[in-house]
Amino acid sequence: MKSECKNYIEKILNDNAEQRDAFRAHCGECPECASLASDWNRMRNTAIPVSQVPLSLDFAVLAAADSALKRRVHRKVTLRRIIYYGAAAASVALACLVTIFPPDSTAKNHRVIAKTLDWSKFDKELFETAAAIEISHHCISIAGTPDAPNQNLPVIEEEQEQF
Amino acid sequence: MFKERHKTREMEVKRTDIELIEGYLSGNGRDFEELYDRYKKLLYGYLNNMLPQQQSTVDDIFQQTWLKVIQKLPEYRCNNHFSAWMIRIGHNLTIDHFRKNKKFVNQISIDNEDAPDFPDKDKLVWDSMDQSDFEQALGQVLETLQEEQREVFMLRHNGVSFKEIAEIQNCSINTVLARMQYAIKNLKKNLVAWKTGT
Repeated sequence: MKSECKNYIEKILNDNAEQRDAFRAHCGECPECASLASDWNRMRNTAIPVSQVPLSLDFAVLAAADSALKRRVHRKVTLRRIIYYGAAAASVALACLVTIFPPDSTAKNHRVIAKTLDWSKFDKELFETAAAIEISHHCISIAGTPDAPNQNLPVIEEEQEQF
Repeated sequence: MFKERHKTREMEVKRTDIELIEGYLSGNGRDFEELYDRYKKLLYGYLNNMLPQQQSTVDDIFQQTWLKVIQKLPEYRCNNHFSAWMIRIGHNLTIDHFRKNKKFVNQISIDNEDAPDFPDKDKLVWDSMDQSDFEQALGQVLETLQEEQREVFMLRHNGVSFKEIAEIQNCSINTVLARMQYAIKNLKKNLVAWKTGT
C-alpha cells in the first residue's frame, strides 16, 4: 500500500456519498484500495445474524427503568414538599418574630429625628404649653362647655354692646 | 383510522434519541421503552460478538450496561450519539470482565500484525462466493477475529463512526483504521477458508 493511500482509507471505509468521487478516482489507479473498497462494500451489505434478546432481559431492564423513574419522581416530589413546607414555616416564624420584637429600625428613625430638633428652648416651650393648657382649663370651668354653659355668668347689656 | 394510527407511529419514529431521553427523565416511561427497543439489538449483537459462546456473560453484561445507562441518563450530554455512548459503557464493562478473568488484551501485537497474504487461487474462491454463503459464514468467521478488530468491524458495520470507535477504544483514529483494514483482510481470508473447508 502506498503512502498516499493513507489519505483515502478513511474515505473508503466511511463511504460517504460526498467523499465517493474523491476515492473512486484513486481506486481507479490503486488496485489495493480498489480491493479494500469492494471487500468492505460486500461485507457491509451482508447482515450479521443477531440473536434475539431474551424476554426475561427485556422485562428486567424495563422494570429497572420503571423503578428508577418512580424513585426519581418520588425524590422530586419530596424535595418540592420540603421546599414548600420549609418556606411556609419560615414565613410564619418571621411573622411571629416581627410581632414580638418590632424591627429596630423604627426606634433608630426616632433617634435620628430627635437629633435634628432644637432642644435649647424646650423648657420655656414646655412651661408656656403647660400654662396655656392650665388657662384653657380654667376658662372652661368658668364658662362651661357649649353643651352645658354656666348659667351664673353675668348677661352683657345690648347698650353696652352698642357702645 | 388506520392512516391516522400510521401517521402517529411515523411521528413517534421520527423522535430523536435526546427527545426520548428528556421524555423519560421528565416522567414518561414509554419513551425509555422506545429507546430500549431502538438499541437493544445493537448492544446485544455487539456483546455477542465480543464474547462469543458465553451466553450467560453476554446476558449479564447486557443487563448491567442498561442499568448503568439508566443510572447515568441524567448526566448524558448529546456530544456523541447515544448508541456510541451506550456501546462505550458496554465496552468498559466487557473490559472489566476480561480483567476479572485475567484475559489480557494485547493491543500492540494486534496493531503491529502484518496483513495476511491473499494468493490468486483464493481470489477465485472469493469471487465465486455468493450472498447466501456470505450471510451463512460471516457471523461464524467474525468469531475468529481478534477482539479489537472484531469490535471495530462490528461497530462500523452498525454505523458507528471511526471517531466514536476511537473514543470507545481509547486510541487514535489511525489505529482504528488499521484495525479495520486487518479485520477486513482477515475476514476475507477466513471466509475463503470456510468455503474451501480448510
